[in-house]
Amino acid sequence: MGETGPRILIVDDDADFRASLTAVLECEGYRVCAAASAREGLMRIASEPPDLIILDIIMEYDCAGYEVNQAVKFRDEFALERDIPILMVSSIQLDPATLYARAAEVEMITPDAYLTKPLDIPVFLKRVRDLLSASRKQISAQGLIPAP
Amino acid sequence: MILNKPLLEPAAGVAQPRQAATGVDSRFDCTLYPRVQNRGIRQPEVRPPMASLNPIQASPPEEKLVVVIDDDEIMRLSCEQILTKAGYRVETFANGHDGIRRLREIRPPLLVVDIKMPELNGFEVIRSVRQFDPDMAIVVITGYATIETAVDAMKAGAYDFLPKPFTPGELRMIIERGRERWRLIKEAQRLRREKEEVERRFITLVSHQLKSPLVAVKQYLDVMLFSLQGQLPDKAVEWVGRSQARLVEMLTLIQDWLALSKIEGGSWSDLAASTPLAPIVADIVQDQRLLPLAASLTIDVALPADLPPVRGDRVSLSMLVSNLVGNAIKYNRPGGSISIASTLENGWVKLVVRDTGIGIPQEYIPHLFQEFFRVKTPETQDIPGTGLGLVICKRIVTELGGSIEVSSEEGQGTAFVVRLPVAEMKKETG
Repeated sequence: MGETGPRILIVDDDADFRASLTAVLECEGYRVCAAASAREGLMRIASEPPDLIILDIIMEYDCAGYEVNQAVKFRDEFALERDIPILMVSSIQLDPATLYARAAEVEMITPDAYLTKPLDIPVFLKRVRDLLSASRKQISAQGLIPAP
Repeated sequence: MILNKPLLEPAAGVAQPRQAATGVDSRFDCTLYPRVQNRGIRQPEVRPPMASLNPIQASPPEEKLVVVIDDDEIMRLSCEQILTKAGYRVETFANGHDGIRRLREIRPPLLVVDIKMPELNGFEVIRSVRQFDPDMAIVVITGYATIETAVDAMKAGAYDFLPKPFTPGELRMIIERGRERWRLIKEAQRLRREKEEVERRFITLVSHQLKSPLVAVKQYLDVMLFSLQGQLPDKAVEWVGRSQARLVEMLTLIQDWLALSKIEGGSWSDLAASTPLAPIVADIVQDQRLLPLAASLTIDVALPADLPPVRGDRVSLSMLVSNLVGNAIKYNRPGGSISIASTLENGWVKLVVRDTGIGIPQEYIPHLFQEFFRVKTPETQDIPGTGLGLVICKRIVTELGGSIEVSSEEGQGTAFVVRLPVAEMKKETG
């Protein structure tokens, strides 16, 4: 794949986590870019939309990951990036839908998939593949790219 | 092109389905013009998706609002006049049904209600108000001011009573006092909520800061083992594996500590929720069956289909069941068995988790529910654990108003018996 493999954006404030994840994803042939904050993440998503976003929750002492999720899934400026799948990863043991089951706004912070850190690498890679192939299918169903 | 872009993008409001957000046109447009160039001017800001992650709070009720329910028109008019002059906004109703309907909508701080009315009397009004608003200050007006009616009104949930006839000054004073009391209750509730919120955030952040370094280290080791498969010397693989086990041990400890602090903060279980046990048990058994330790064990689950839901939310009940089933697996022996059974017993749901494991020496049983206590025998020394699992179980069960007991015979096995109150029929979760 190399130069043409799917592009994955990692948004995480932990440099070591970004480094190890980048290494394993690049080994699998993905093109990886990384952002160290929610703000940088949103700018990257807008300027070079990736095929998949891997998103941490707690960054800079705040649950900024939820904000990124909400921006991409609901804000007008990200209408074009709406369908980019988001894989949320965090050391919070419960996914947002369970943790905030009673909150009215829970759908805003619900990602396409959720995994807890530390990641089980084979499980993580499978989830990445599944999300990418599901979103390719959806796009080809809309007639935007020819079905493989 | 940049100027035209907003026209090409379909309006992507919150309520729009996601497919509608990426129109064919806009995608096409982007393939013609490099996206980077198009987006150069965009400077997205980070905005919180919501003010807080709490259920939506209704806007604060109007503080100087009084509802008067009385079938006597003169009484309604005079109350309205007196209180309007004192700066209150007054809504009046001639019967209980209309009054209650409106009270439910506006939740005023104050209600003045007559006891003796046709159809719904004052007591009935008070009782139905108390079902949806425990804090409203209710003043009862009564023509026959006997001690008994006053006591009955207070028992039904009135705050004070006013015998007819009364002077404008008496009405004003009693309403003013009622408003002050309501304000203090609301203020106390707000402070309690804020305190809980601060504690919750603090615990979440501290535990995140404690876990982050461990997670980063564990992740490096995971990636190393995964990408260098077959290239590392056996000794290195073994030591990395041991390091990982220690990291997981530390992470579990932090996780358990976090759970305990949450329970102690009092904001853990949702006592108003009602949750069926069977799906929780099924999920947990399905997950834990996959553990290497569980491979040789037989796990029997016998939960009757018509078991009523128990009090509590899914998260805390899952934690309870998962700890008990986890222990039954950890402290079992190869080829052993576990049975999870539940019955309805005098209004309690009794859950029994029984294993054929190593058992617990009698002298240790009184200490099982103490923090960081672990049974120390040659058989348990290699079993990982934090000494907090059963403490968490005990706290959850106690908070839900239930009980947990243990019986064990060394070398034969252990049984934990949990009794949980059947939920009152209200909202369902998960």
